[in-house]
Amino acid sequence: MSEPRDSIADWSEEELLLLRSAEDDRPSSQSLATTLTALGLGAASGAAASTAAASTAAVSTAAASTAAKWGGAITIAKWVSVVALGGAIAASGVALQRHVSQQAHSTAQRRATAKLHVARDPVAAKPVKPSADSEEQPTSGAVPAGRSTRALAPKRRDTVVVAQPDLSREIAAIDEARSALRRGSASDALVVLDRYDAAFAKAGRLQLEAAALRVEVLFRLGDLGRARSNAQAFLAKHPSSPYAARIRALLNAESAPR
Amino acid sequence: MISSSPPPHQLHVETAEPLLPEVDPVSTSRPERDARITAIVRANHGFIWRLLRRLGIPEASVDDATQQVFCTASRRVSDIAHGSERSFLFGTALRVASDFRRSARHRERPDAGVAERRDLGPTPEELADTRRARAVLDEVLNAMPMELRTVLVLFEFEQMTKAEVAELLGVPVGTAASRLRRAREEFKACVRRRLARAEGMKGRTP
Repeated sequence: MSEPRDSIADWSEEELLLLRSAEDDRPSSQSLATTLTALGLGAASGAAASTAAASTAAVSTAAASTAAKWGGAITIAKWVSVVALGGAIAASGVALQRHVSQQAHSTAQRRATAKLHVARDPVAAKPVKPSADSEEQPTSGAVPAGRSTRALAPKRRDTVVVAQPDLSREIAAIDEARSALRRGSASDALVVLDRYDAAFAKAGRLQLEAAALRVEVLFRLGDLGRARSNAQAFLAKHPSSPYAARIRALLNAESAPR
Repeated sequence: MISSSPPPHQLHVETAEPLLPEVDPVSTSRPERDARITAIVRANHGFIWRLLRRLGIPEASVDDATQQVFCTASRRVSDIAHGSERSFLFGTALRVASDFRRSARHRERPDAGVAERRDLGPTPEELADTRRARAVLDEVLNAMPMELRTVLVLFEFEQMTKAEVAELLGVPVGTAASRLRRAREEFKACVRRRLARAEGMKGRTP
């Protein structure tokens, strides 16, 4: 345990950008409480606030050391190469200047990260169905530690590169829905979102964006019943998502007296 | 080869430090059992959540997958040796992630009519979007063989030492170190391929 970690690998700036993107990827403050609740540990979930804090602290340790390791490694972002990377990342249609200084990029990146932090406001814990329990298969890795297990040995196919849905197609769908919403065609946006859900189902990596967008679209369409239920389901499942604040604002605006 | 070398994720070692107070599994009462499960969850929830994310569970499903891991541990708690809790959870998480990827592959319908992307020119603000960078990270990690991906995740994201990684995987430290080297090389290669693909896509844009 006292073995020092070796020096930082010779990461390029693009690689560092990707590695650092995971720094703030951590469970919400409610995630621990909902897990305890799902396990029937009600008393434990009552202490969720303190345990969540403890969990966050533990997570922060790893995150902080990660940050310490990578922090400052990106000095100047190379726009040309990063743009190449971002070609696969981005296309939201937000109209912004294309050419900004490198310093502006760094500022924008910090701002974007800060936005994620700001959005993490807790809401009351909601009991969750123990879906994991019902979905679990009898052989799902439940093997006592301390002895060699066939179940835990990866099968050969595990080492095969898994074909993944094309992220750029997901981005395209989300962007198309956003564009439709912006030009006032909420019904078109809904069609696109339905197609997205059909295409990417549970494996989609922008599902959160799609779900948040769907709430907005439904409100825009005046389908208040579905909008509210979608919004509430979203907040119950992702209370600390970056989109939660916006969803709450939509809900509040809708319920506010006119 | 399969019979002569240990499986990459074979878990037969125990962590160096017991994470939880000793409780005799035979005479464990319900309150003691609950206390032990609670302690297991509290001590490992963040680790398992992050591990599942980096092993390919999308954000929308990771809470459920995390619950699945701990539900398994809860049911099997009397089988889990003291000091081996993290190993057990790690092995279960690998299985859950593997099952998820397999089912996702079956569900995948790449030609389901999603529009082709038209605007490939990113704005600075968009590039600064951590969430999108993270989505690309997911894609890069998804392109890596699971064995190497796991080592990379434990070392680079969970900040474990090589000895800790080796212990969790049940392999000699030298093997872990070797895998880490290969994992880094593979990660770099995957990023390079991703960059090249992005460049290719931009080149086709009118």
